[in-house]
Amino acid sequence: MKNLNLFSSILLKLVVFILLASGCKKTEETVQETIVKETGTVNLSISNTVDGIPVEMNQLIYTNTAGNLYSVGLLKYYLSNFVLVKQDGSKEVFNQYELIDAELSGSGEILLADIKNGTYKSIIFNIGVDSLRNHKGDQTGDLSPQNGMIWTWNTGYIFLKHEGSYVNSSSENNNLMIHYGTDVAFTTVEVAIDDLVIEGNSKKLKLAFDLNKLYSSPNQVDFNDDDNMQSNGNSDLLWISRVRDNFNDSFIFKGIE
Amino acid sequence: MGKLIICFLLIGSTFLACKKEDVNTDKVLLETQPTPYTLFIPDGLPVMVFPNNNPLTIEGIALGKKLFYDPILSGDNSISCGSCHKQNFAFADSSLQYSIGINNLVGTRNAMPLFNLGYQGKFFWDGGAATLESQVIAPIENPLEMHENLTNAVNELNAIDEYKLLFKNAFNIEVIEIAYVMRAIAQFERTMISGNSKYDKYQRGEEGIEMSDQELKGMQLYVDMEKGDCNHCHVLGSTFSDFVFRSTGLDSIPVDKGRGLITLNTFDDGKFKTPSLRNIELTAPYMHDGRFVTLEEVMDHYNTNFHYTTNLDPNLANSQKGRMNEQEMQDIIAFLKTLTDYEFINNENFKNN
Repeated sequence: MKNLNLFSSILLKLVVFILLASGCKKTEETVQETIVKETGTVNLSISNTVDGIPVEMNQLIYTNTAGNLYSVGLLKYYLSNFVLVKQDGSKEVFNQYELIDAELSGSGEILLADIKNGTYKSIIFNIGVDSLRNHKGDQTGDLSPQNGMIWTWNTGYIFLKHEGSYVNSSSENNNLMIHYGTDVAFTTVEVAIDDLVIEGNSKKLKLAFDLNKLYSSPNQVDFNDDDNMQSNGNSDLLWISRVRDNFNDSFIFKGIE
Repeated sequence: MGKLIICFLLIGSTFLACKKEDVNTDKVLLETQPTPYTLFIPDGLPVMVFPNNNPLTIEGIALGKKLFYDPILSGDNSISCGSCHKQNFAFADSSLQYSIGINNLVGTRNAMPLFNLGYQGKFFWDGGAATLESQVIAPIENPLEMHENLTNAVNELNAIDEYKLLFKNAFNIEVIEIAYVMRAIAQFERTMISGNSKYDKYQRGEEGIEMSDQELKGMQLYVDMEKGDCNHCHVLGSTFSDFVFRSTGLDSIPVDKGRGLITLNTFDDGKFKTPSLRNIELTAPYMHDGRFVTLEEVMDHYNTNFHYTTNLDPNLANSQKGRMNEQEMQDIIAFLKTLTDYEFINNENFKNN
């Protein structure tokens, strides 16, 4: 009986040891993660501005370099397939499609997860939706046709929509409609950033999208020439290419937190 | 002894604790899936390929049919897809040149018939819709047609318990999104197969099916490059079209740019999708703008009345004007009428019930 008692006492200790040492596998992983984290996250934060000041909706207070006084009643656009570029040129790719809506706070907050540790020096992303996804309407989430960002008579996403009003050259208040899209409008921008150091942590990367840059840098856009830009005629190809070339300057690095 | 029992209990409970999680995981994977549906394709039509993200299911097809006939998808809940795509006209719109939308607004092109859609890559006369699924939302949104906001349509569906259940059964979703409306209707439309006309049955050697001398003569003239020369574009048999965009010289200067509006390429101005000639007897009036009321007018166009426009299809450009006489054109029309599929227009599976 004494022997049995001794045996069971050893066995109990052994079981407790095994339980402590191994436990369920899930617990083990959690323990390991807190010790060494090989990846971090970036909260990409995109603000919408005009001349550096956050956009106020429905205010006829903005003036572009062409001298047009205009307002922003609606501003929505697609950004997709984000790439963070390391100092050594290696890349982290995120296959995401994000719809930014200037009217909704929080729509410019984009989570880029599982980023390998390292120092990043630029961010690359696309304006619009790539041709693989652009001609397919039965999609959900940010690409859902319910967002009102798709042409149904000619399947394709509206990459950027700016609607509002402006004062034309005859001093009349006119409607402004800019619906930018089609495959030729698809473009990529690269924004240089301060050293973004990821060491298993979370960083906030702040960018601004500036509407007046979109209408001026380097190509000036005058709403008097066309205030209903719909991307659906041969004559639209010119303004599409002019605006397309302005996107790179329109995204401005604002800091890392 | 008591300690020993505690030991075994501890060991046992450790295993149980870990195992329990596994059981739960299995449960999540065992969700009910919709029932796959195998579409019957009659001899004479090609194999149909389905999109990976939208295979046919019994639940999806039934839901698509219900949506096809439900006016809930229009702005004032007054018309459905079925209002302008009627089964007894092979799902074209009766004899109207242009269909009438809500608020009595009139469309700009003739409503196309619906059958054998799974063989086609692009939709509408100008091919503007890139997939059958993508096509669905255009008439819903078009102010001249059903004029409904997509979010409104989806909100209305989400407010109906029956629809929530039908969408869950078909797609395993809790909240209805427009993407699944598009997929359901596309599934139903892919089942609309027409391949049981007199011509098909004759080709298959079915018992008691005869073609008259005039119909056979018409078939000969249909393929004869010196006469009908229909075969170049409306390939004999199978889908009776290659679905390529062509200008058939309807106007010396195209009034409607057609395909050119989509590609923005002047080379495509005045081009429209070559339609199938199946059920052509039922789908008057003809051409993208429904300008011809009878098949005789269509034959006259291809025989003598076409214009030598910039983008005129080369096969037509090289055809001799006046190459057919009245009798020959009547023979071709007699043959075209053998392409009417009465089983299709009476098929209970496509009826609104």
